[in-house]
Amino acid sequence: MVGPFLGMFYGILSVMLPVLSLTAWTLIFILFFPYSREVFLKMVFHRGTMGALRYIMIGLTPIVFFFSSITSAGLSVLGEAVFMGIIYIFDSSMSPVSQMLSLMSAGPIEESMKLAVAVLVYITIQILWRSKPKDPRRDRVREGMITGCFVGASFGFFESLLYLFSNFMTLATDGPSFGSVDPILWRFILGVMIHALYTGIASAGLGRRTITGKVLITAAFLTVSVVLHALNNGIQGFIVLILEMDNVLGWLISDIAQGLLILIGMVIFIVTWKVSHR
Amino acid sequence: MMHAAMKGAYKRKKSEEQARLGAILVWSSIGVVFLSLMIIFSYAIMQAGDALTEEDFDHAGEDTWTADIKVDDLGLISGSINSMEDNFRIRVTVYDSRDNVMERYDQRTPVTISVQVFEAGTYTIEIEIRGSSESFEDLDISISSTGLDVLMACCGFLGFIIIFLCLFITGSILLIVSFFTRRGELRQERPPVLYGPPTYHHIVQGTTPDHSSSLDGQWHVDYHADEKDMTVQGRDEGVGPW
Repeated sequence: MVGPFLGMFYGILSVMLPVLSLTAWTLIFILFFPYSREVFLKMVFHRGTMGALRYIMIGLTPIVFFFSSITSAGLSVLGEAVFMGIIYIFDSSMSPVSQMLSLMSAGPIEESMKLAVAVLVYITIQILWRSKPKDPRRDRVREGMITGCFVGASFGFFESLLYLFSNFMTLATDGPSFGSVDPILWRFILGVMIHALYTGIASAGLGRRTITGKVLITAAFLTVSVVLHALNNGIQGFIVLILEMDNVLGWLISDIAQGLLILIGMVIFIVTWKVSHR
Repeated sequence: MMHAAMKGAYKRKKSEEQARLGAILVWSSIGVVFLSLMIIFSYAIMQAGDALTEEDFDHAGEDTWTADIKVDDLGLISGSINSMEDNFRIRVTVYDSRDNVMERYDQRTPVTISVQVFEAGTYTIEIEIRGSSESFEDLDISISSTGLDVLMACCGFLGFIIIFLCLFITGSILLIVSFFTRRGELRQERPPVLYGPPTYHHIVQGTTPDHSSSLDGQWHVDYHADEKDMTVQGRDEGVGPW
């Protein structure tokens, strides 16, 4: 049992680390992607508008964030529970392969649910801010990607809160070790960003001109993000469960492999962002 | 006419105050959520108790293994016992400090245990292997105890939830009401003014057209004029020469 000060420290960190991570990655995003800064200032602070609308936009942002995180996370938990149930029917002992499959199922289930919410948010934004005549300066592909990042970040934030609490609980119970500290660092640095990145990629087709383009390109990018996410989870499962390397070396290899996958995801995101520029 | 203008200004001011209050309430509710999560997480982590694995169990007789687990408050003993390979039958019994049976599970692995305890003390977990050919080494055990003052946790949690919901719902209603009263204005404030390069401000001198002034086919002007044939001042909203 940990003392009151350490317990309070861990409790505060469980909440503050996702907040810091979200803030840092938002700043990095708007710094390196200038168009996102325009959209961010427009959507969140309603820059250039005086009066009520400015306050409405400032107030609506956390509501949409809250709605996105609860909806996407709730639907994902439901989907994963159904998938786990199906696996359990075929393999009640939950062999390592089944456990790895259940880890990998987060890829298709979570990405689909996040994309569904991103589509909803994107449509709402486009209805509210439709411009007549059509403004050629607006880049709807990028707006789709930014919406995806927003929804993904809200999901990642919610998930990080819960996982970090659980990780700090383990740290308090088992004491400090590589196995208990590594997930905390990983979750703090990349927990929010990784979901924002994957949903940002999956949403790259939302802003295409034609319905066919929207559907086909979204399906293609969703597949990319699903594969990246499933591999990201699967690698950890493969190393720890199948190869039974539940030790420092195993965790390090898993971290490096996951890091490489995130790098691939970042390259895909940046290339899509650049190519989408009209 | 003057009265109508004053009324409009008053309504605008009221709507602005309403929206500002709504935004403050919504952000305050987010603050309440973070604060309550910090307190609840801190409390739960402080109460985190023992954790047991298969290595903590001692051989207590033929096919029987036992381990003690401490709970410092009202709380919960929970965990799972899985078999490494094929499932087999085991019996798990949880005893309190006076050796009374609190809960017994007699089933094939995996076994999930969850025992609510109502007083602090040391509890004993006994695992008996029922299958003839299996051994204790085939088991993967993860059991932990969490002491929690349930009443305090529930009251605290409910209190925070009520405060959060009051702030969040009131703020959201105020924002939605303001939004719908100012919706027309929102639609006029479209991104074209803000996206891309800075807005190109332009003074147009000339005769007012019916709708807009299209000088080179690329941009148009919105203007403030009630009559035709007068000098107007406008603002570029379209694509300029950049």
